[in-house]
Amino acid sequence: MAENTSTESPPAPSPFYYGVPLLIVLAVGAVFFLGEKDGNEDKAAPSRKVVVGKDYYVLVTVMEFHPAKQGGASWDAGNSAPDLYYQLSWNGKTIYHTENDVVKNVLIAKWFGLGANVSVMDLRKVLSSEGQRLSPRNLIKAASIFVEPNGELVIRAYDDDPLRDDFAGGCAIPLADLEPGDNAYFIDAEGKPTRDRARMAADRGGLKRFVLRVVDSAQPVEKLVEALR
Amino acid sequence: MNPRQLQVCLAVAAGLLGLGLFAPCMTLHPAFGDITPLVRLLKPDLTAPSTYSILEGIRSMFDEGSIFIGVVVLLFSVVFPIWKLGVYFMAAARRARGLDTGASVRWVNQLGKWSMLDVFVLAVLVVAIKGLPGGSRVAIEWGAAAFCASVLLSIYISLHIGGQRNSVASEAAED
Repeated sequence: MAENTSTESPPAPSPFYYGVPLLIVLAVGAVFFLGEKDGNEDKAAPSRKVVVGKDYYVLVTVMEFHPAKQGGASWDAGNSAPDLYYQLSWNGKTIYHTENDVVKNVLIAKWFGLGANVSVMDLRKVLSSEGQRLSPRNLIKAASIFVEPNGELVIRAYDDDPLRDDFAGGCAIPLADLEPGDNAYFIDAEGKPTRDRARMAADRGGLKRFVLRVVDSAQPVEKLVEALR
Repeated sequence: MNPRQLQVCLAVAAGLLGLGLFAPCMTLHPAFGDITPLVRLLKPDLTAPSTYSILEGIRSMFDEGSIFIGVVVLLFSVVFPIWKLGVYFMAAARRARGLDTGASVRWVNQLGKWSMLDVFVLAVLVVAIKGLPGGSRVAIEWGAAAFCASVLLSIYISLHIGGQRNSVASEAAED
């Protein structure tokens, strides 16, 4: 009996061993998946405020007017929609405006932070090896500001008219309250800007809302292009 | 190498394989020759770098209709390496119990030459994409290094596990 016991083969290992590498690979994949998800959540998190003492580019990317002026009068003759442009003022001076880039006959206007007026004929010069070169920094269509603790940015919106432009509304925004990225503001019943959409005046007339884009100007050109377009 | 050391090496190889499959393997930096700055200005998304892992590469093959190539790469870059490591895990467990490593190890070793196909596929992909015009280039990411390390480690393990009959089992058989 003792001899029989000594020559018996030990039991074969569980088939579970075949699956161990698969489990390890899946575990590594799960760690990657969770890490990517956390990364995306971080990206979606609200951005922090601008840094005092840094330079930024600012521009209005979206601006909406009420269907009528303040007081109820229609914008233009023939009941057509207004022709929108805006001005940005800082330290008491107009530092940027879109009087040459009026968006005609709309209630919602959009502007981009990059652009160039290049005709087809000029394009050939740009593309040829001996031709002119476009520098991304020369194409930035935004105001440059320096953030100080008590600094303010004043936005004024207008309806472009042949005789006299109509002032649609305006407001001053403390620079330290801005966040890098898009800052949406709504005009309340008292004509003041608020980030709370619920407080937006329903039928005040004139300027209704706008989105102010703030971009760190110290970024590499590639990121500036991505942020401003 | 004793069975315990083998199992540790196998766990490391499986971890490296997981990293190799899920981690970034290569980054494609598109370029358009002399007009690259202009394209970057007007359509930045066209010049944005794209990073792929091996699994993402396989998925894009299926998405683009390259089913045959996708299946081949899936089999020899994902299924076969995992199966091979599974067989080695079982062989190490059998050796720990004084048993023969089993016929499946001999099968895996017979098919071992196919395991380098994944490295070959990777090399062909890199060469193919590096040959794109316009100055596009490919940067190899750390996932490729992890994948290659896994393949090399599994080859090293195969040298120590390869179909040997355990000494205890041999002695028992001789008795």
